[in-house]
Amino acid sequence: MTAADTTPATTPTTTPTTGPAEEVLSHEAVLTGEPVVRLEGLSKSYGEQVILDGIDLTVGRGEFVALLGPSGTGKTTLLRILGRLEDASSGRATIAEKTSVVFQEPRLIQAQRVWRNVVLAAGRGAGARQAAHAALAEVGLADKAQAWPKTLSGGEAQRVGLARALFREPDLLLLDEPFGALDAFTRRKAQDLVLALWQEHQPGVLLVTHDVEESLLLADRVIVLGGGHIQADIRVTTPRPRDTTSPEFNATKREVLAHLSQVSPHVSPDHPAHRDYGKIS
Amino acid sequence: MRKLIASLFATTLLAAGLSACGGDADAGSGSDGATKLTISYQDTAFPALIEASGVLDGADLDVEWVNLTGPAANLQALYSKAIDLGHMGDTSLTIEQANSKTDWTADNAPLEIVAGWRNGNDPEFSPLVTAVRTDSGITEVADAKGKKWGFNFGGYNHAQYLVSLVQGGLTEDDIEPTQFADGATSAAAFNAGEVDIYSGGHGPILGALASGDAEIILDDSQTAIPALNVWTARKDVLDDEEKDAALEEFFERMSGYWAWHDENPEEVKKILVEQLKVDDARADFEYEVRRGAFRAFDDGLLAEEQAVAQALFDGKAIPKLPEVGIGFDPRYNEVQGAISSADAQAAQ
Amino acid sequence: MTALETLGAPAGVPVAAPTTTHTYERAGVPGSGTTRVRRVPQLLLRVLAPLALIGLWQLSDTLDWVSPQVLPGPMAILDAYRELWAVGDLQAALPISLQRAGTGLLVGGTAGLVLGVVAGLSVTAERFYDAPLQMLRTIPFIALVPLFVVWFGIGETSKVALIIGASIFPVYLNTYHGIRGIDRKLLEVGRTFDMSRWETIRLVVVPLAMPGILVGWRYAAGAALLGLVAAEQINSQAGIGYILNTANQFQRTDIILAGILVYAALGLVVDVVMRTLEHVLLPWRATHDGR
Ligand SMILES: Nc1ncnc2c1ncn2[C@@H]1O[C@H](COP(=O)(O)OP(=O)(O)O)[C@@H](O)[C@H]1O
Ligand SMILES: [Mg+2]
Repeated sequence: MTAADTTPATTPTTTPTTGPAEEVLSHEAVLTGEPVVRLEGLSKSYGEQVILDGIDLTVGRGEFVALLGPSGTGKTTLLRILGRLEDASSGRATIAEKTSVVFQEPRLIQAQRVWRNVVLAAGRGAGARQAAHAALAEVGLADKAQAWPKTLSGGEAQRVGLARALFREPDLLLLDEPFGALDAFTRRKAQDLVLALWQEHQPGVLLVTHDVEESLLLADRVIVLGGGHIQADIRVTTPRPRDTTSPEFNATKREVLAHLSQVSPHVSPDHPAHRDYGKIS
Repeated sequence: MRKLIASLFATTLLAAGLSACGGDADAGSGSDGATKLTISYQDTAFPALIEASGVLDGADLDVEWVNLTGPAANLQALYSKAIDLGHMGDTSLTIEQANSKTDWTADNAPLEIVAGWRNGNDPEFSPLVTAVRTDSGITEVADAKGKKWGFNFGGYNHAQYLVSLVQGGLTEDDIEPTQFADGATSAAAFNAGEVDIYSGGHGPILGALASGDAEIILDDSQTAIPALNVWTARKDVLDDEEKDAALEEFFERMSGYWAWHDENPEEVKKILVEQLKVDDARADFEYEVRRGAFRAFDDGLLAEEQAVAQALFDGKAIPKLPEVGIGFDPRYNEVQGAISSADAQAAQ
Repeated sequence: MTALETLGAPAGVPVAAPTTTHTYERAGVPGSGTTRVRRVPQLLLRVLAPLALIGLWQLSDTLDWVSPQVLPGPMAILDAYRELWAVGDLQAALPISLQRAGTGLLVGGTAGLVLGVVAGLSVTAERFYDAPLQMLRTIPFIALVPLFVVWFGIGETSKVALIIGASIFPVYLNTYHGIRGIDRKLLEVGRTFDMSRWETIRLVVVPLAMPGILVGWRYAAGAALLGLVAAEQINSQAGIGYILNTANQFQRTDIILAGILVYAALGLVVDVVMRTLEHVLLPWRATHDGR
């Protein structure tokens, strides 16, 4: 699967509206190979502070997009708009109906067993438990189905979050720094898992990360966000599995880092950015 | 502002809901056509004794006994029409009248005392006393200067305290007044030696008297406080012909109770022990103090009651001086076989 | 690092780092027997202290250290139970009082629960009735007995109403705070996964607020029992509160203490019931705090 294959060929059939708008792509529409995200001039401000300023972005089904940018540039804000947890201030957003989010923290319901956390919204039909087992088996946690979330390790909890997100077979999978809190070894394994699951289920993926190497390892496209705009949209065409030591990989890495070093997190100059480049590895 | 209005609205709704659930007192006719009277007493002993005496057997009325402690609960139950007769001390209505927003007249008085009773005026069994701790060094009221004096607010216990002060030539400034919420607590404090001198019920301090820890210095005959138990009726109950007739029959039958009490000391004491969980000494005392006869609401009694009101007013226990006679209705005195205090004295 | 260390000790003097060595034995290894041997005196100690206290108490009574009016001895209290039993008061009291307390607790607690859940979920509802409820909460119910006579008469209604009043607020407050204490992020999970409002309440809100709700019920159960004393001032011929009120009126310290011990026993029962409930309703916590 290469990036070129999944680039959307057709545009979504949505009626244009003026002012803040958000539309939902129907499941059927997505299945015909249309984009799962289409943002046009999307802006978001909190009071005086402009966070996103006229974002245009299209993500196709089966496309893996990584979103990079210093802390406070609005990556989470963008992701929350896509997850319908936040309304944009203006612009247009067309988003796939079936969208799942994996948050930075696992956000498991402590009072429910692991398997129930996976099926949460899928009701309590007799099949739900078995389906949960299947989903947990995919992330290698079949034996934890009956466990309470409190007994899981950080990596295990994040994998349950992943199983929960994939359970509804989303057309769009939103991942907000899901590996941020994991140790290097566990993170590597989780990255491999995400990649495998993506290849298996083919959702459009938007992965927010601080880690340039991670973005280049996983994504078809790396988008750098800064100053409320998309500063760069870089295609990564190297076939997977990717070798982090290859000259090609490092060339792209330098390119991305160059873009990053130029961006400031905020739009308005009266909000001095705390340039948190130290966090970008 | 909108929040405030919403809050007020909610409170109103809640209050309305609460009152809608209430009001279960249906003072009406009994099932067999006999008139029903709902009568309160402050403990369960008297109803049990009346039951045992059989004076109400075969009566053309149904009595439902209600147990309400303290004058406040009895007055509220009367006002809310939950009961027809409320049990209290003879001073309670004086205080109620003195605290009323509108002045009571013979026409508009909402409540009337319709029966009063007590035992003979034997000092050994006087219901009301002023007593001292023997270790306090007080032998007469005048010695109480600077001492701790326990009493409870309102009622004839309070009157006993105020009249005792006057008799000792003292004012409240001369002593250390120690006020309690109710008679039982006041007595408990005295029994424990927390106060030096005490005005209140005789019964609750029997133990301290028997052990020699305490001594009576003034009883109610010396302070001229009638210290009657009374039953108070709501005016509209008295105006109801059926109820009026039922009350007449009730009191006529009750007039026969006292003889049964005098003739059956053992049975009475047994019931007192069972109902009140008192020891034998207290049962003996309660037997005596619960003997009696209905008292006539004559000029002599009303003069004594007026004097009590005066003492309460002078002692600033009540805000205005009422005419106590308004609160006494003697209509049942005759059927009660009520006697004057002079007759009671003579009978002794 | 090293610079800091040399600051503490004079140069050239070798300092042995203080160390302690622990040897761990696996607990419950068959044959070791140490735990079993130690447990017996532990148990004995547990029983011994209360027994010694009761012994001392009885001794103080027998030797007349304190007047029986102040503190009757254990035997006197046993006698009080015997007396109450002989008259039939004790047998009559428990069912009638427990029924009053139980009914009041059930109605009040349920009302508190519903009000608390609704206020916890809806800011509008909270604005609507939280302030008046907070005002009502501070009312001392014991002092309200005469008013309850006016509002609810002198039958069972007023007694149960008083207990409802006493038990509604602990459940309301704890439920409300239990729900408001839930991490907003978890509620977002419900939105993200298109859970209906009802599903979110059933699967997320109620289970997570359950510890708070149970604390509320625990307090409410205590309040309901205590409320009996006030409630049974209103026209009662039987009940624990009635026994206590009569004993108070006639200064039977032994009966008062006997009644208080009944309360203590009921408190213990409430505790056991609540522990069992917690065990059943909060299994996810047991794995965490338990053992
Ligand atoms: N609810 C909010 N109210 C006000 N400001 C917010 C809110 N959420 C985020 N912000 C601000 O928006 C900016 C972008 O935040 P965020 O999207 O979390 O950044 P990122 O995820 O890129 O680190 C930050 O300056 C943050 O303080
Ligand atoms: Mg973020």
